[in-house]
Amino acid sequence: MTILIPPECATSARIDLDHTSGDEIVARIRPDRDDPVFAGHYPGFPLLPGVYIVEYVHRAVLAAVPSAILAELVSCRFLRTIDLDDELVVSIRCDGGLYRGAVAVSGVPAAEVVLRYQEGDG
Amino acid sequence: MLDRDDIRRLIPHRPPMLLVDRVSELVPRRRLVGSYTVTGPRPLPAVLLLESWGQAALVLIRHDRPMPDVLTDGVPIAGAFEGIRFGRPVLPGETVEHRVELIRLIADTGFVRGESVIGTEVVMQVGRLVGAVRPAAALRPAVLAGVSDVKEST
Repeated sequence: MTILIPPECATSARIDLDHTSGDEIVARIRPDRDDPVFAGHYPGFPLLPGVYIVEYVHRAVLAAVPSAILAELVSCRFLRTIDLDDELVVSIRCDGGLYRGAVAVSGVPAAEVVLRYQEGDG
Repeated sequence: MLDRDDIRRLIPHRPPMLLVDRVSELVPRRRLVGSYTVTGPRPLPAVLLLESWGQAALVLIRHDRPMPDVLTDGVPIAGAFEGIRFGRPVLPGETVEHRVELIRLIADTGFVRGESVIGTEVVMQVGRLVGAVRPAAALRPAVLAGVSDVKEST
């Protein structure tokens, strides 16, 4: 049966906050291999969508600042692909209203994501 | 001018991650207007709105070189996003229209920009998206070959 409902988007990934202190957030994230998204992205070649990386950083911010409302993905660079078995470490620094996230796998940089939230929520 | 079946013949995304329903306007190598209707019970997450827009952009880039199967045709991957501004959420039942403009195409790396609208209301602005196509065999587990480092020569 064809499922036409879009995925919840990364909600089943496991996100553990390591710590939040002042202007820093560190979280560990494990993608969910059973996420239905991989049936369609792509058939026979499951690949973590790039936008999932952005969502992981956003969710790490939300875990620390639940009221934050995303206003802008200021920038994002993908530096390498991420295997579904990889554990991602997201280190986020709040810098003048921007949240700068560095995503790494086994200490190797995988992506850089900068997010801006609505005034008063970030 | 293109429906969902046509789009499936052009790009490799499949349900539940096929997020373009229709293309109503396509000027080769220049611009495209496509749309997607939210069928789920909840608002479309912001990043999936961006994914949907990106798929419309891929249709523009590859309409004359279909790539329905990543194993034989290559894998579309995102290299970079810049200046993606989000407005209000797209709600269940709403149809969002994607407007895509091709800035430049260098080999298999495309630079695109545009916006998503509902009626006259802009719900997302896309400053720039850089996307590329890589052979499946080269992607796993290889480091991306500097996709985001490709400079746009203007």
